[in-house]
Amino acid sequence: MAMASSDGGAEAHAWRELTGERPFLMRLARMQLSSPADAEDAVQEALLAGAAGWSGYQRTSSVRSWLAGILRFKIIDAIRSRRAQTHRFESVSEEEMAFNLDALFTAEDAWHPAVLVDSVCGSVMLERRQLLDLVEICMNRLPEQTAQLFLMREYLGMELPEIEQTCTISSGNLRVLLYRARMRLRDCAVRGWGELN
Amino acid sequence: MTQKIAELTCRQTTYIVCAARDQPISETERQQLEHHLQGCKLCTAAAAQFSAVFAQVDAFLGKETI
Repeated sequence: MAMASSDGGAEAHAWRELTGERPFLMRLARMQLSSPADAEDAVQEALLAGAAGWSGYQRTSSVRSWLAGILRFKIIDAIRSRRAQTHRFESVSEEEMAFNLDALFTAEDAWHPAVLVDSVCGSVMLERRQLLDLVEICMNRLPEQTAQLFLMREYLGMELPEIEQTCTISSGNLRVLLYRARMRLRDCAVRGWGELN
Repeated sequence: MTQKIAELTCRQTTYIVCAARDQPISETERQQLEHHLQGCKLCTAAAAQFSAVFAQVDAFLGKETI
């Protein structure tokens, strides 16, 4: 392990802090890469890069977010160099369709006043950590296929045509699933703000 | 002469707000959205919620801080 500090205790502490995020990083990587071995490789590379860059880590973001940012590039590299296989899209899952978007709107396509939780944001009342934990909970509630496509766009920053090609998904299906992911996340987060406040 | 802005439904505003994460919205869409938000308290609340959630997603994924 190549850390800048010569203090063995500090290095060990840093490595523990980094590797403590391994389960989270593996969940992120597994959503993008179909082979567990590919996901493991990407995470290992991210952890080693994190260790190498530890002395430059400013702690303006959490270790988790910082490592997620590093892992992003490892996954993109693997996908674009075709070293790793991604999940292939087959059809919109039943689990996805179980979320009834129509229930959010009236027959005239206005927000249903009874279901629109009028909570703008818990950011004033809630700790940043609580908000991010809630985002993770909500993301984990997305169907696997939806989460994968959503993260390709929102996490990896891939453009829609590249996602369509990589996952063999039609433009229409991709747009529908991204829309549904965002609607579900808003719905979940807003309910969470209400419960946590 | 000012051109009449086509009315959107609330559901249509969610299409635009969500799709704006993937590609810039057109000037026409921006005007339609603004026009709708001026008269719709529910969509104003929903738009603020989307904005907050998207910022939190960015922070969670290590893209930006909130």
